[in-house]
Amino acid sequence: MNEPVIRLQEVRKTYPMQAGDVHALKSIDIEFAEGEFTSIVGTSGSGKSTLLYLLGLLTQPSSGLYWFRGRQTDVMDDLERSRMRGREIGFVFQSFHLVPQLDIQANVMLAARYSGATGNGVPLETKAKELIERVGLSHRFGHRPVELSNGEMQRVAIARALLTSPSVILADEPTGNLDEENGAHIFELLQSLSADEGKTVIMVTHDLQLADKTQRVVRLKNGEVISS
Amino acid sequence: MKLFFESWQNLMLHKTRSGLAALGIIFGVASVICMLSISEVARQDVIGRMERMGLKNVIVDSIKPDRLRRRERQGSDESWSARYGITRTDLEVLADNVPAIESIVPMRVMFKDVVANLRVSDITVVGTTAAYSSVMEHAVDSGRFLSNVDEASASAVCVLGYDAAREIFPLVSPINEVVKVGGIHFTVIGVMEKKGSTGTTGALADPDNIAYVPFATSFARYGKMQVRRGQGTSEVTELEVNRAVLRVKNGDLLLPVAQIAENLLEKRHHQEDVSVTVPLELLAEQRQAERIFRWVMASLAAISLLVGGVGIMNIMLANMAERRQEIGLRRALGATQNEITSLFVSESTVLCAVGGLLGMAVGAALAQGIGFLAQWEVVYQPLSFPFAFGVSVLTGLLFGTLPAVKAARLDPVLALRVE
Repeated sequence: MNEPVIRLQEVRKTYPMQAGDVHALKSIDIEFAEGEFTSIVGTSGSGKSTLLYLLGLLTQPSSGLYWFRGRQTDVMDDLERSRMRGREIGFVFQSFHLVPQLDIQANVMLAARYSGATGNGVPLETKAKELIERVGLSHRFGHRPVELSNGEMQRVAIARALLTSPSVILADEPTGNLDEENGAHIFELLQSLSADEGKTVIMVTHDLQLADKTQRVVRLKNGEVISS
Repeated sequence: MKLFFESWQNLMLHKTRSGLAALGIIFGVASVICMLSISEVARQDVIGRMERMGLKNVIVDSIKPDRLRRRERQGSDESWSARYGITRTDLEVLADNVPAIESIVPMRVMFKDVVANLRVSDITVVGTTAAYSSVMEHAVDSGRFLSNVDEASASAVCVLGYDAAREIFPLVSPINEVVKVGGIHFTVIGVMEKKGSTGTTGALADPDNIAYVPFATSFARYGKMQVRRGQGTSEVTELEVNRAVLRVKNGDLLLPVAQIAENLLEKRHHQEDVSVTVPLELLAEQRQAERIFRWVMASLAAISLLVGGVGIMNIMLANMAERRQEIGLRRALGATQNEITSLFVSESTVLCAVGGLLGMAVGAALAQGIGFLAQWEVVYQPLSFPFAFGVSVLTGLLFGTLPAVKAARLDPVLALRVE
């Protein structure tokens, strides 16, 4: 059996607060396989986003062990974690997080700023153009985010997430701000990344119907995995 | 370089805010440039004046005793006569007793009308000797200066200062022309080069507006007394020498010679009617004043830049708050904390550097404007521009660090959260 891309063992995340510690994640043991499309569901405050950002190396576990592609990440310094994040992980956010002053190509190119990605012989500008075409926005070159619909903005965000050819895509409620049609289109895009390109896609969602369409559903409750 | 270019692009995304943030630095640097320029003008003025007075000269001036000044202030309606100041005998005593003196140049101011072409000119008449030209480093422009022969024979010849010649003879060469000085005809034998103000006050302040006559002639033709007539009163003064310039053989002996001259004259005079000045001492005093002036200006400039820097810090903090999500995004895209710090420090540095460049231009323009209004020639200290630029860059580095560190320490999870 192949080694999982991501493996968490006894991972806890606690936020110290004045009124007392908040245990966002309690003893999580979970693995994600290569090319798997997983959805994480749960009520608000169940720890979905915390888990996603922890998987994305944006926050550190308070205790427990985390392996990414066989490398233990909780012992890495900020530089190592950041470089791994930049190269191996692509993020898609509910609020898109595009830079409003930059046009869509510049927004996509921003992904290469810190990852050190070179495009494997293809100039990054060309690769960014190809990705924009692939998400169906070739007619929007030169446009700024404010000139796009929510669905189009999310497609730009997906193109940005793909620029560095990451092996893992983490999507935080990617369809949360979209209508049904656009939501379906974005979901199909994510699905194809997993099915056609073998990328590991982990998606946090409130939409249980959408979650049921993924290969695997992880349910969280009060910071604990209740089924996976 | 790439980082600075990116910072510049980021700043250009918010032109108005960046412009406003840079204002403090622009005015801070402008004030530094302007103040250093003013300081340089003052410094050059002092050096110029000192050079014009002579680097190896001791200046001995006759000064009006207090009782005469009081009488003048009270405006007495009585006639009076007085005798004070340096005498020819004083100069002989100095020449005989102080071997370090190379030569002595006396100057006697005569209150006589200078008439030429039926026009009375407002020109000072000064009796002096042949050594004046070399000791005062005031060369002849055309013709020749007074000679020892003129002095020995008390000739009725005169040499005109540059402006005086232009005023009396605007269209023709003054050489061999005749001017009437106090009713006596004098032949013009030369015109001096332009010299500029000596920096002193009184009748000898402007050497370009003087008619120089032989010292001996001033006594032979006009006598020892000078009479000034008022309404029904007259003031008769016996003042033989208004100023004597002692040229010292060796510059190192300047201060001892001044001290000896002061002691000798003090013994010979029973009233305080002589003062001894060394231009170098004057320079030292001026330099002290200049040092204080510079400290004051440096403090003002530092305060200006501090205010500018605090402004930059505030704007960068506001910038950080506004770009919270962008910081989170950059972290998600792989930026390290150090890279976020570098980006923000670089932005504040670029902002201050550009502000510094603009400030230098504004400062130079401001200095030109002040120079135009004050009618002085603007001089810039050569190092003031790199200094001001360096300080503005340093301001950007220092005041940009705190916001940059705060930005880098933002929790990316919180930064990405949309309220």
